[in-house]
Amino acid sequence: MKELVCIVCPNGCKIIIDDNGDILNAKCNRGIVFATEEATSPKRTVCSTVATTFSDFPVLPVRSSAEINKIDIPACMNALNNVLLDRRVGRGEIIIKDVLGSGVDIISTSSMQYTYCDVETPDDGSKDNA
Amino acid sequence: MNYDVTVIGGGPAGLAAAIAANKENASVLLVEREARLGGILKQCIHDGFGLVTFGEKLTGPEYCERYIDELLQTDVSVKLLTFVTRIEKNADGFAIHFVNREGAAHVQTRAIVLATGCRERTAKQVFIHGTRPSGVFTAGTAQYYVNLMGELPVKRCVILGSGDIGLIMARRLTMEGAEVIGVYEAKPEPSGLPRNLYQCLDDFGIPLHLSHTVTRVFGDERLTAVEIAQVDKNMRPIANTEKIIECDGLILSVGLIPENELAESIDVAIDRRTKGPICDQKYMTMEKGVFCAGNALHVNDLVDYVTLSAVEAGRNSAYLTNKPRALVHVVAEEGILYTVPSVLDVNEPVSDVTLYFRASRELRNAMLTLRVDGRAVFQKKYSVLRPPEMERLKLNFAQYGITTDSEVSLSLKEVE
Ligand SMILES: Cc1cc2nc3c(=O)[nH]c(=O)nc-3n(C[C@H](O)[C@H](O)[C@H](O)COP(=O)(O)OP(=O)(O)OC[C@H]3O[C@@H](n4cnc5c(N)ncnc54)[C@H](O)[C@@H]3O)c2cc1C
Ligand code: SF4
Repeated sequence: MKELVCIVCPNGCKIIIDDNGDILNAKCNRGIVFATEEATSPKRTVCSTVATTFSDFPVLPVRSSAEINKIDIPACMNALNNVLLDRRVGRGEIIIKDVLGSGVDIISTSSMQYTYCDVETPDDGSKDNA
Repeated sequence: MNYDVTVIGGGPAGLAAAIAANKENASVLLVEREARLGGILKQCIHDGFGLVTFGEKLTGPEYCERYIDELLQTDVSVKLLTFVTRIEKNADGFAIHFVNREGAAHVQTRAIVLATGCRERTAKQVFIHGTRPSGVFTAGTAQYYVNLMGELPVKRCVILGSGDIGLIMARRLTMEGAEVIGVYEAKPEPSGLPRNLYQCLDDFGIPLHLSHTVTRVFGDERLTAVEIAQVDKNMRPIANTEKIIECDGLILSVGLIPENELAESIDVAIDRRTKGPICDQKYMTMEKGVFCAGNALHVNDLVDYVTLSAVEAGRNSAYLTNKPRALVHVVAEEGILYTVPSVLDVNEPVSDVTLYFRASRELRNAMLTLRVDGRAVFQKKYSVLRPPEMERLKLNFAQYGITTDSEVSLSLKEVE
């Protein structure tokens, strides 16, 4: 028997795989798919950062565009640690294509355009006599 | 300058509230003290956000930037690097005082949406004795260093408290090459979500020690070790269970509290259980014209609910009337920790109320009962309820004929 927690949705069902390989306690089908995969080849989305050359945005958050094999996470982190980004990217842009030959890309999860005060700051407050 | 609505705070709650008020044709000002919009989600780079609102598993930055994109399409005025210091009530509404690089100034507004988020409890609030070396951080501060500054603040650390942010940081620090010796929780049950226990601790072989706490910290300038002890059911350390663990970091994940300095400055009534303002179904606090949304109202575990409630608060803030309120309390009885809203204004529509609640302890096969004047008018069965997980209920209170004299209560009881 094996106990695991389904991480597909926030319900976090405690799923049991019994000795016959039957999957119990999953509230929905996605949970059954997850438990089957967990028992054979577990996968995770990797979320991390890569370094940039910009002092106002020293690291850029990134993630894998799909799940990768759990055992590949350390190698993936290594690949991310070797990146030094010298251009301002938008959200969703590919940072590493086909990481570790997995078919999955590493993409930016933030737009570097949203740095300091690029939204208009109207100077319309009545000044206080400070 | 005059605005219909001023939103204080540019996190997910403030963004959603500003967009919603703008859609109702209100003139809106959004004030944020930081240089970038997005609030705490800027540093929440892990995924899991947006399942309810977008049906997708987004990271924090992706989630909040969708709203920033939308906000920038509107004519909402935005002030960044602007800190609201004080609110003053006057005949036409409120004067919002702030400071920024141009100095101190104020604007006039008819309505306010408080969306200032929450802050983390710190060592002082959990009574850690000993010296004050550096190396003691809240989980949010550690998250800020790693995810926004790209710095690893610890090499070998202990995490005190099993809150979600601590669990997420246990994984994050491990992935970045730090050693997380273990997570220590004083209570007999973990306070984080099961999915985070599984994918943040189990995945990386990080042990969770329940009924344990940090009793002392060592080190002059930098932390060198902590003392851990087992605690009894009254959370008192048990003698002779002390253990010294060498480490250069202690990360605190002992809970969040709504940020309410501004609300308190204008004497908005605070709910002693949520630590946020008491509000009605329109998210208006007990002070007319002052609305509240997101983590400033009560600590949410899902940002999706933050957005949903902020949309309501923003929309309602655009329609401020002089109609007097007729308030009825929703009394949280046995099994219920709190409800939001905790009061209903029966002079306003009550046919479509979203009620958020938390169970006061873990309950299995629990029956939720809504009573009006002692009569059970609505029941719902839950297979399992845990305090860390907030529940959401849609209720049509109009069908129960509630008046200001009604007694409305909600309770939870375990049944067979
Ligand atoms: C460290 C941390 C990690 C979290 N991780 C998760 C997570 O992984 N998943 C999840 O679902 N939820 C998480 N949460 C909860 C998260 O806070 C909410 O989901 C969501 O961000 C709340 O949105 P908000 O807009 O209410 O608050 P916030 O995002 O905190 O935004 C409040 C904003 O108000 C601004 N502000 C405050 N006071 C003033 C002032 N006086 N003047 C001007 N501006 C002001 C702040 O600068 C901030 O930008 C986390 C919370 C914290 C504290
Ligand atoms: S089994 Fe279904 S309902 Fe349960 S956590 Fe998994 S996805 Fe969610």
